[in-house]
Amino acid sequence: MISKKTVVSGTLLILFDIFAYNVGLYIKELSSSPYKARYPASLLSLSIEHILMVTVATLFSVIVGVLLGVIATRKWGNDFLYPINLIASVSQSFPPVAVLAIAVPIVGFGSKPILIALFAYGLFPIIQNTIAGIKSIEPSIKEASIGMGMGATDILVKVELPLAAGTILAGVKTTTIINIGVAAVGAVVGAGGLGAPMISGLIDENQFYIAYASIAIAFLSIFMDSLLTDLETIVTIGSSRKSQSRS
Amino acid sequence: MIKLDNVSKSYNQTRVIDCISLEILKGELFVIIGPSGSGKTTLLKMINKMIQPTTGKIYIDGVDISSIKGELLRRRIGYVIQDIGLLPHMSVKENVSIVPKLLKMNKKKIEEKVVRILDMVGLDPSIYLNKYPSQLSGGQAQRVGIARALAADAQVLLMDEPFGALDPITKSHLQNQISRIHKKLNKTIVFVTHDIDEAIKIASRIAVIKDGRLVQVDTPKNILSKPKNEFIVSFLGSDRALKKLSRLYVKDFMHKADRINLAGKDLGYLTDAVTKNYIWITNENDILKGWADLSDSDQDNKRQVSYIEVDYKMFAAGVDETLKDTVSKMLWHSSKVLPVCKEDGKLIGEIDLADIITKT
Amino acid sequence: MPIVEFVFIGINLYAFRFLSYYPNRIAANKPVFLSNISPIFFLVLEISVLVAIFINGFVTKSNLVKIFNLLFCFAFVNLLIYISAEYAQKVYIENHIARVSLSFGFWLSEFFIYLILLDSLKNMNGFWKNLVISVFFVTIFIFLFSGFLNNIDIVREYYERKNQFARELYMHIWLSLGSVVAALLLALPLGLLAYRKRRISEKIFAVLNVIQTIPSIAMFGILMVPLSYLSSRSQFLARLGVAGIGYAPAIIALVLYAMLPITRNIYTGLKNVPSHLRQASIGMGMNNNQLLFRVEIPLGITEILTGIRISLIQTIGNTALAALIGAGGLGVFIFQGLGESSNSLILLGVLPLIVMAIVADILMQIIISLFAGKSYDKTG
Repeated sequence: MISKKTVVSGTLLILFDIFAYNVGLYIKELSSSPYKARYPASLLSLSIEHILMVTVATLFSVIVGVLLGVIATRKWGNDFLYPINLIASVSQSFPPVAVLAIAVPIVGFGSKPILIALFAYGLFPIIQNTIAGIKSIEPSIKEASIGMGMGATDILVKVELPLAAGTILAGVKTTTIINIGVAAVGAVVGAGGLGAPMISGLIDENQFYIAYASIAIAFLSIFMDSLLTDLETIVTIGSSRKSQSRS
Repeated sequence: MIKLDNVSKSYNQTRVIDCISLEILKGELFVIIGPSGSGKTTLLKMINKMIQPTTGKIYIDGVDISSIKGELLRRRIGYVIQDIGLLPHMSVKENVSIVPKLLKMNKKKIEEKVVRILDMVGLDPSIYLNKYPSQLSGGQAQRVGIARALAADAQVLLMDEPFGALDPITKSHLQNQISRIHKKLNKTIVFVTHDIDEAIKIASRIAVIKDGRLVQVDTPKNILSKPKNEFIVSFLGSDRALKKLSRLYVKDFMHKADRINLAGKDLGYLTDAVTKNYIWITNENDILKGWADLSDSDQDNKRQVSYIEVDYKMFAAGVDETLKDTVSKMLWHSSKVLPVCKEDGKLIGEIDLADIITKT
Repeated sequence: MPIVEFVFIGINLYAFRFLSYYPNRIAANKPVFLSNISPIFFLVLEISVLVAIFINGFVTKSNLVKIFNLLFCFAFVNLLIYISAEYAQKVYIENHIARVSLSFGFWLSEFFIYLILLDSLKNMNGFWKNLVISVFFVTIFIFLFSGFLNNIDIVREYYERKNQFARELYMHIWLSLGSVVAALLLALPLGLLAYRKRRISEKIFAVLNVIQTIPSIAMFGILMVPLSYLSSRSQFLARLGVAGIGYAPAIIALVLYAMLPITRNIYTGLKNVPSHLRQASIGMGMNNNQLLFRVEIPLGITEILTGIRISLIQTIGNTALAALIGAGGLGVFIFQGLGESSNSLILLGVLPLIVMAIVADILMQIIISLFAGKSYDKTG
């Protein structure tokens, strides 16, 4: 269920968060570097802050994104399907940074524009994947469900969403990973998280800060990617139940 | 029980169903048949309101269905489609339980019912209850589809080319199964197919549709004997005479058979005792052992006798056998007459090709 | 159905600020609504939006509707630009220090026009499509070069930094293109290896996937430390300009990221060659290399080129971040703009970036279609 990769990367992340400064201080002594080797905030708190930013934004993206994706695939919402799909695919060709760059002038500085940028940009992979997931369900399944007398809500909740869940989760995974990166860049406009030591390090040319931030972000993204892949596997197996037939 | 009153359906400017009126009686297995694109699926789907008629009314048990909410109507009608449509993320048990759960039936009762129904469609519940659709073969999956349609005790079953995607052997088994279920549960079944043999095999009555219009509605026997026009004749196929034979049975065409027990006698005895050209030979238990051929004479016009031993299992016709199978046997054995035996071999009559030709 | 977009445009023009007015560099900006600038224009535009909605909703001849929409887009785009430029010019005459910049309402309307445009171009054949797009771009360039737009903030920023812009644009193209080419050279043998030895392919893709998972900014950071250490130890490297910051970590990271789409598509492109063709070729007596060069690569070329296309677009986006570590590129303007809270500067970086991505996409699609014609679809 939970794969080796998830456990290993998670453990590495926590270990790094706890011991990085110690190692850094040791290296500082050895190399007699003039730079500060201990950042004012603990890596653990920064990691948690980062995870929180990403999780909150992604959660909202999921709620709104799945909603919009579902609307786009309803018969009555069909008019919206094309524009929504179009906006989604066009936006995917915007580099993520651009979204941040556009959100700031509108909303201002601090954590808020980051959350909004993360939310907005993360919306599109989720919308696209929700639409793709629902559309990939075999039409005979939907026809049988209608023919049985299942109501529209029942069909959505008991058939369409469970069967599309794997694809939707793949979209959530994409969003989350992109968001981790954008949130890091967000430090440029004052957001917290692991981007803070990175940007600070870039400004002062402090190798320690840069190293702490990069390695922590790397572990974090590998961990979250692996965790979500595990989730995706669980959900997909749950909905199609072992493609190896025993009959 | 189901009445279609002047029903039409148009899409944009095309008329797909053109003023069809028909009545399906309670307990019938009513087959709708026609070439592809004739509108038969559209007609079927109007009965459970998956398609709305453009004009006309549909009544089920006297009630105009336009006044009933679609999804509520469909919970009371079983629906089986060619691609089956089992929900892949649910087990067989969960799939079959869907409509009973929607109808808020008692959980215990649902469980018992699922077991009973799986048995009725020929699936061993102990094996199949917890299997998933991906683990089933086509035939097994469609049996589950039928079980699902029966689960809510619907009085009406709609079936849209349900066996179209199955191999011939499975198809035949399932046709027999549905006939059995029909007789046992006395459901009204509306069955769409393009396979005329299937229709003739199982139908109580057949409705032939072409280009959205009703051509003929009648029993299989009548359609075969009295096809209304050229189209039906060609639709039935050039072997329609043989098709007719598939709904007629030996027991209605056989007559008494003369026989002799040869115990303790020799063949010569027969030339005097028997005037016909042949006679069946049985043992003391009246079981068929062979037949004696007395059709030959020698130069002096004295009758010759030869004895041919037969295995009744291969040679004799069964009482419930279709005439089609009997004629096939006659051809196989190059014989215009066949004995009719019970399962244990007891000779109970004979059947003559001449009778089949003149009386059908 | 573009009706939705039209409705949004209509709402947009009324509700959101169209331009922003900055009395001077320090003071807060004032929102300027379309209705403020010229009530007449505003009414004309809103009425034409209503007309457009009506036509899209009730006229059944789809070709006429499409042509109408195209003309509408063309007129609208140019009108909006014209109104903004005119207003900016007026403001400039009254007050030399004040600035006018294009704001949310303007950009959002243009975005919806873009969507309507895409919708109208949907079923057109390639030649007409490209013609229409070219016409749009040409008119905008005419506007630009005529100097009429010079008083709009973003254009002014450009003129103030013309040389720097050219430099960074060139750097961006250099970095993106160079990285993709380098990645291609590395990915070709790697992809072939993955294809030939399936067991290694798992490991190769596992590594590439991990790399892809790491956000680019972290990758830059991870490369910076060892590179700065190396360059401090090696005169040779230092002379080349290799350092902890600058183009070195940027290119290495960009190349690493660019490799996955290309490698993956080489692998799947070759793998998806129908096996009966492979059997036939081997049966004819081809050896592995002949099979590769005469059968597998020609048949898989579309997929491989698509991988390069994906890689290129991704890399153009990734390069924007390279500015953070001193490598230059259009990202310089984005981050400078973020730092100075100057929207125009940000857009000076973002807009060319998006245009570059679109142009690269179109160019790659043209290249792919050149090869697709020969893709031997009818293999029977």
